[in-house]
Amino acid sequence: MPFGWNGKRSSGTAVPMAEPVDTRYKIKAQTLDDFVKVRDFVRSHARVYVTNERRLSLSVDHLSDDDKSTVERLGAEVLPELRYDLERLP
Amino acid sequence: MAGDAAGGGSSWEPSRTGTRTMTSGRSPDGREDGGAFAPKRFKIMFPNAQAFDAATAIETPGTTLVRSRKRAVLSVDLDPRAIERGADRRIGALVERFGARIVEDFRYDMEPVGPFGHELFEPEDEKSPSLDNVLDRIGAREAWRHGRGSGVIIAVVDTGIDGTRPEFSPSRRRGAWQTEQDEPWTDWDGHGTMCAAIAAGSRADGGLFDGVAPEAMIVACKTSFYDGELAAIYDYLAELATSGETVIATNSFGFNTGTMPTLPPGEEFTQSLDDAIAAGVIPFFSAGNNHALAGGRPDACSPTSIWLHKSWSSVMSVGTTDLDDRMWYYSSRGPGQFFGAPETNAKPDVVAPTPKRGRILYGDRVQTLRDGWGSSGACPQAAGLAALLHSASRNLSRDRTFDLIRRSARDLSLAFECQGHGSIDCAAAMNAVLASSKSAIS
Repeated sequence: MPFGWNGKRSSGTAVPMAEPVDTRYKIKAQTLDDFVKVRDFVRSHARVYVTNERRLSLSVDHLSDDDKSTVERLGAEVLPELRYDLERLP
Repeated sequence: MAGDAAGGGSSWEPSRTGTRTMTSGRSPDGREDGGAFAPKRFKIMFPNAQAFDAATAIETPGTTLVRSRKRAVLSVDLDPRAIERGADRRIGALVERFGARIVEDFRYDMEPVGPFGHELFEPEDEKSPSLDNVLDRIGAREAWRHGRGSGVIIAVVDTGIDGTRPEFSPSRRRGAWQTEQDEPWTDWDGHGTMCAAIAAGSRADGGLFDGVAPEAMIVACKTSFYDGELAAIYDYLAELATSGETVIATNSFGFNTGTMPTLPPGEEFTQSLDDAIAAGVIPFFSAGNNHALAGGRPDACSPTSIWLHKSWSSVMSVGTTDLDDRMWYYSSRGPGQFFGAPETNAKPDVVAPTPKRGRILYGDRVQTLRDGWGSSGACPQAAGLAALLHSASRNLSRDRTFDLIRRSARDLSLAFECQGHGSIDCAAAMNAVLASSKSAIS
């Protein structure tokens, strides 16, 4: 299994942000039409951190199972978001 | 009514944890009073997501800082007097119409030393070496006779940059990237401000330190290091480069592990990085602080612990020594995870010094770090050097830039897997670029 990958959610060092969000998903569409539909849906259902039209991807916080199903039905894939670490001293 | 909400006790409850923070007795507004305080941050807690949706569809009081539909909670800044006096009718409406509870939001203390671990920060000692000593050591001041980084962008891909610091004059801020609703010229840790200060800090407007390239323009790329964020950052930097800017990026993040990582399907950052490199962005990466994690002895130059894209020949990977030219026990060793594959080269490319008990701007203050600044503090030195070279000689290619930095590095008589080509030497690199420019003219 790749490092930092538990198959379910983003991993990496917890960062000291005043954020209750502990999960980040990446939503990846295959076409611009699907991307627009998914983007418009997600914007009213979750906090969107990154909208990357060039790569047809979104970075969002928690999605309910229902919302995930809707996103998939609209033509996009919901993936856990990989997270890198700050370089820490051991 | 809001007054009922405040006085009734059932709707508005001071949270137990809100009356003190976890370690310092500091109140949520930061006062070291250890006792009563005037909270500013509140949580508005809804009974369910439907109530949350309905309430947030209309105007809510105060300034909303965090929205969590998952938890049906808003975190807002409110004037506590408005609650006590019932002065804000919207608060009463939230309680009465949507069943909200309003409680003080408690706050944990951030570890004051960020990613470096509490024990690695020491009390301030002005006799300790600082960034000034590092600049002398790498010959930066001598190189400034021919260029100080003007006209070149250094993008700091990190935790943000503290925009209140005079080291980063607004006149030198060329742009920024941040997630939606965030503010790029803030720093959630302090680490990004450190890296920015090393690469491009300036005393010109009252700052405490000059960086290696004190006249370079700065782009703050504030991230929590999620793949999607990093991909978007490099797409943004590619646009800057395509528009004709010289963009040098300093990156002090990776995977803190002693074993070789692999990337999952759907990963986008390295693709975006590759695209940005093709567009002209010149990236520098910290080699990593993984040597001890990989089981390497402090005096050994193996096993390798430089991971993933840091093996690419299209990026420069930078390790770190102390000021006595000894490898730091943690600095990742080469030749790199993918060495031998196409388009890779033996890593690290070079090293740069970060001092024992070294004083450096970290967030909004100067801190003393016992065990150097990590390869995090070395990478921005090399990025700053690249900016100096580009300010002295326009239109250097990426490969030529890397070649100048490698060839001018000072040999430390260590194995290549430790030092790479040696410790960066700004004066020697600058002399080399000027000599090659003259020879091209003649």
